[in-house]
Amino acid sequence: MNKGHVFHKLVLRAFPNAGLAPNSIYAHFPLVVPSENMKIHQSLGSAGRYSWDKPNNGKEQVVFRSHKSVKAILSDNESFQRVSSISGSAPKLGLGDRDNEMPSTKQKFVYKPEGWAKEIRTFCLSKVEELLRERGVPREVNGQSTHEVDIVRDVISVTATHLVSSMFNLPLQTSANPDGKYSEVELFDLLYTIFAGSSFDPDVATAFARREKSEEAAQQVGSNIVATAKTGGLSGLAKRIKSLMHGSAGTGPSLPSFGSLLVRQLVDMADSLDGAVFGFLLPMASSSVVGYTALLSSCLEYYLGDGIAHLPDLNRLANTDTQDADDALSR
Amino acid sequence: MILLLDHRHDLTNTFDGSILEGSRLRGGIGLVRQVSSPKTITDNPPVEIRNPVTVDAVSATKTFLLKPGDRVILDLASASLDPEAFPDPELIKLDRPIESYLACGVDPQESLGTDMDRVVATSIFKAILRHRELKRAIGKRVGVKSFPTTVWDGQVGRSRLEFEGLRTYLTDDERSFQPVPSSLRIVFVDQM
Repeated sequence: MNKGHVFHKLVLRAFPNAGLAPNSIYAHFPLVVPSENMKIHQSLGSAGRYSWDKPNNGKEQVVFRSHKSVKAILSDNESFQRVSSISGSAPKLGLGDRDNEMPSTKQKFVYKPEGWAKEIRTFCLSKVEELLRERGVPREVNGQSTHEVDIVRDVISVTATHLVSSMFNLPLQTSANPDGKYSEVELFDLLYTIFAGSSFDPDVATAFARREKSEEAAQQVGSNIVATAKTGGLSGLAKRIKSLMHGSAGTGPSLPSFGSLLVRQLVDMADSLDGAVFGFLLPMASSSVVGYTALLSSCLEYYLGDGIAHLPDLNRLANTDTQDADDALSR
Repeated sequence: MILLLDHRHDLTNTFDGSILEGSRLRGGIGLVRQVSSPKTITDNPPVEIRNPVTVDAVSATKTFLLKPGDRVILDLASASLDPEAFPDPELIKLDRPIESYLACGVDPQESLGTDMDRVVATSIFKAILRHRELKRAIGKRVGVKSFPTTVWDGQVGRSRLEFEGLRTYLTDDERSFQPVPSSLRIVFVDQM
C-alpha cells in the first residue's frame, strides 16, 4: 500500500485531534501540495483511495456509552448508518448505497425454511463433535485422560466458517465439496480481513491498511464466487449457483434447505450476482462468522473464569436434549 | 460472583439466557455508525468524552448535536453494563427482559437476524458444554488475552476500569491486536 510510504503513521499519531481522516491525502503524502498530489495519483489511478478534504472539516467522532443512547442509535437505522472504516473511499463492497435497504428488508430476504433451527442445531452439534474429536490432543491430567484443544481457533471459528459457508454456498473445501477454493483456515482469515476493514478499531494509523486489505480480500473471495458461478465449472458450488439461477433448487451437503434458496433471494434483492455477492453475501458472511466467534469465545471465557460457578448447571442443561427445547428455540 | 439461578422456569430459556448474560458481561463489541441527518442524543457516560455541547453538572449528562458526516462509536461493552438497563450489572440474572440485550455478537445491520444468531450461538455453545470437566488448560500461553481499548490521544492515553469498556485482544502470535479473541485452550473429558 502507498507504494511503501508510511508518513501517515507519524502524522496521524502526532496529530490525533487534527480532524484528519485515516485516508487523508494530507496525512499520507504531506510533502507534496494537494494539487500536485492529485495529478500524481490520477496518473497512478489511486486518487480514489484518498480523502481530499481539508483537515479539520468539522466532522466529529463521538463515543456513546450509556444503554439508553446506544439503544436509541441502534434502532434508528435511517439517521445512523453502518460505515466502512474509511470515509470517502469508493464503496467497493457496495454497502454505501444499500445500508438503507438492509434493515427493513432483512427479515424478508434471510430465508428461513421450515425447521431451520433444528437443521442448524444438528449441523453445529455434529461439526463441534467432529472437530473436538479430530483436533483434541489427549492429555493425562492428574491420572485422568482428557483432551486439550484450542476451542476458539480449532472449534468455534471453524464451526462458524463451515456453517456460514453452507448457508451461503461459499467456496470452502470440504469432503463433500473437494473442489472448493479455500481451506477453512484460509476462508476464516479472509472473512476476518473483510470484517476488520469496517469494524471499530481505535488505532487510526493502521485503519487505512486494514481497509485496503479488506477490499483486497473481498475482491478475491467475491470475484471467485462470481467467476465460478458464471463460468459454470464442474465444482459443486458452480452447479448449485447455476441451478438456483435457473430455478431448480440444488441441495447443499449439510444444510439442505438453506444455501441455494438463500443466495437466490440475495440475487433477487440485488438484481445482479455481483450486487448480491458484494452487497449482501460478503458483509453478512464475514460479520456473522467473526461475530459468532467473538461472542462464543468471550462467553466461554467468562464461564470458565469468573463465572465458573455456573458451569455445572450449564453442563447439566446442555445434556438435557429434548424435543421441547428444540421447538422452544425456533419459536 | 454470586450464583443466581433462581429464575429457572424453563430449561431452554435458562441456557439461552446464560449465553446472553455471558456475552453481555464479557463480549463487548464496538460498532461504528455515520450520521446522515442532524440528531440530538443525550448520553450520561461514565467517563469524560469530547464534544460536549451542554454539560449538566449534577448528573454528568451530556447532549450532543450530531451533524451529517459525524461518526458515532457505540461502546456496547459499557452499555451492556449500564445499571439503568441492567440492575446489578455484574451479576448473572436470567430474568432480564430480552429487549435490553443490545446485539448478539453481530452488528444488527449485518446479521442474519437475531433469532438466527441466537440459535447458532446456543447450538455451538451447547455442543461444547455437553462435555464433562471443561476447564482452561494449564500453562502460560492459554486463555483469552486482552487489554482495555484505549484511544491514542496524543501524549496521554485514555485509561479505563477493567471490563467497563471495550477490550482489544492479542493475536495468536501476540504481535499485534485484533478486535476479537483468537485463542483459548481448554481441556475436556470425552463424552463417549
